[in-house]
Amino acid sequence: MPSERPWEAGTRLAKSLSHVICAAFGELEPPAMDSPGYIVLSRLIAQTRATAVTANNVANADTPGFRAARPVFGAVLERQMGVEAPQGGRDLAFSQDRATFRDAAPGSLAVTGNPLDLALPTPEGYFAVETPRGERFTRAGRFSLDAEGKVVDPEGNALLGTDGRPLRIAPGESRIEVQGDGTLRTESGPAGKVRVVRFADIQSLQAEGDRLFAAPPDLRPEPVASPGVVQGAVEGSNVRPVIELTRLTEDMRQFQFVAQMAEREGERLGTAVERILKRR
Amino acid sequence: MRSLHIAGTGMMAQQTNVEVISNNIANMSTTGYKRRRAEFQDLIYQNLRRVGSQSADTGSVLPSGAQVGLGVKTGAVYRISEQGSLSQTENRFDIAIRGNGYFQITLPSGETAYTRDGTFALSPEGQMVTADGYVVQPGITIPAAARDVTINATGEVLAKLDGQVEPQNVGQLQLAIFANETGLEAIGDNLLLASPGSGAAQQAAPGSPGYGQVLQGFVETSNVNVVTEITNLITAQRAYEMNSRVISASDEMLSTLSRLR
Repeated sequence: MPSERPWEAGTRLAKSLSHVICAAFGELEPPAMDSPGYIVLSRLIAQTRATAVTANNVANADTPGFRAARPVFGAVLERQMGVEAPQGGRDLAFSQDRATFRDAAPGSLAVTGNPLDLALPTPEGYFAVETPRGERFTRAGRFSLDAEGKVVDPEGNALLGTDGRPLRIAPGESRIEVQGDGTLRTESGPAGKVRVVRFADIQSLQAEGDRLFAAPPDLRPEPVASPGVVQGAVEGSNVRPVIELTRLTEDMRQFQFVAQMAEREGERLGTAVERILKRR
Repeated sequence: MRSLHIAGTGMMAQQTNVEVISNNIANMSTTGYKRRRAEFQDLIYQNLRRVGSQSADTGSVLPSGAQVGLGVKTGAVYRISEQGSLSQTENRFDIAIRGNGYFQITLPSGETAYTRDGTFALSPEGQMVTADGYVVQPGITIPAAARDVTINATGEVLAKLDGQVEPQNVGQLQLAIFANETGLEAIGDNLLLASPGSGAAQQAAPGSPGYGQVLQGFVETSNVNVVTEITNLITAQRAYEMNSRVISASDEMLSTLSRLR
């Protein structure tokens, strides 16, 4: 078949050959002669996804409250077929991107002077907003007022107070002050307290886009008593460009390296098949 | 290759950012201009492995899932309504607002527009109009015989007429405020329109609680800070470059694949 690549042809030939050999020796399963190819392939796929995670970090380097994500690689072990441990029986380790974890470091604060720009200096706090899908959490404290005087985020989701209800500013009140403990005051007195929560395990939070996080049902948000809310500042993204670009270069080189290995493996198989055929 | 598309969204977002910054710099000496800032949001996420799902090899629950974000989008371009600095012009119909509020202007279509630009003048009929000739609400007519016009902090327009010792009150300026000024829609010419997002205008005399005061002989300059804009521009340009680096890296990975024998 002229359209087939040598590697594929080699693999196919080797497989059918190994079947013949196995049949001759009375073994049930053929030894996986092509497993190096599949291991390399698993790494290539994982590496592509890792690059997507880096690309998303770079794209969101300017998104307030964004948390950089990192892929976690893991090995999936598989017993080498037809070989008993311990002699030569080392497990095959496939590479898999098992998870992504979120960098919990706080982003830098940018002073804006907007009275409804709020920031949390401690890394563990989250603001709670009310969405049509339920309560969601965000680090991006960019709020404004809507036509009804509710304090809302750019998507129009209302910021919640400690009583679980949206915070509201009465019409005509113009001096908005947010104190360190989250108390919202106007010239006519307190108007509620901003709900700030923390989570026992922030890695379980699910990013939903629009800078919002959803908590799984078994993860209870715990209220923070003294959140230390800063008024007139917004937390930027915690993406560090130097690290992302270094990672990107590394991702790319690793990919090339692994791809090269795939090529060599193909050549090796081809040569092996050729030699076996010559022996005949 | 998701990363190609993700970096593409990053480049588009940064391009919007540069456009907003260039508009700010272009308007750095526009009277009453409020600077804008582009605001970004992360796009949706794709779950490769959902949080809390069981990992097949050990039967234990995943502590964290594998999520890949799909890029960034422009969430909003909002106005920062910080007070601009006041500059003295000595022109008696230049009025600046110190604090909250907008002047109300009647457009030729009959609609009401709102502005912070208080460079007014008199029409041939003696009415107070904007630089474009639109009437300032509520229509204030200065008598032709007026020698001296004073506008005080609470917006009273006082004219000294020939042969009279006491200045006469010939009108009262009104200011409008909104529940959400960021929701006002800009239509150019320093004018803004009310929108469902801004809420209805509430009028009162300047100096009332919650309203700013007016200052005669001054104009409010734009609140664009050139240093901030230039540093933002540099950041945006570098962010653009970084996204293009991601594209070329992804491209190189793809070409490695296609060269694979």
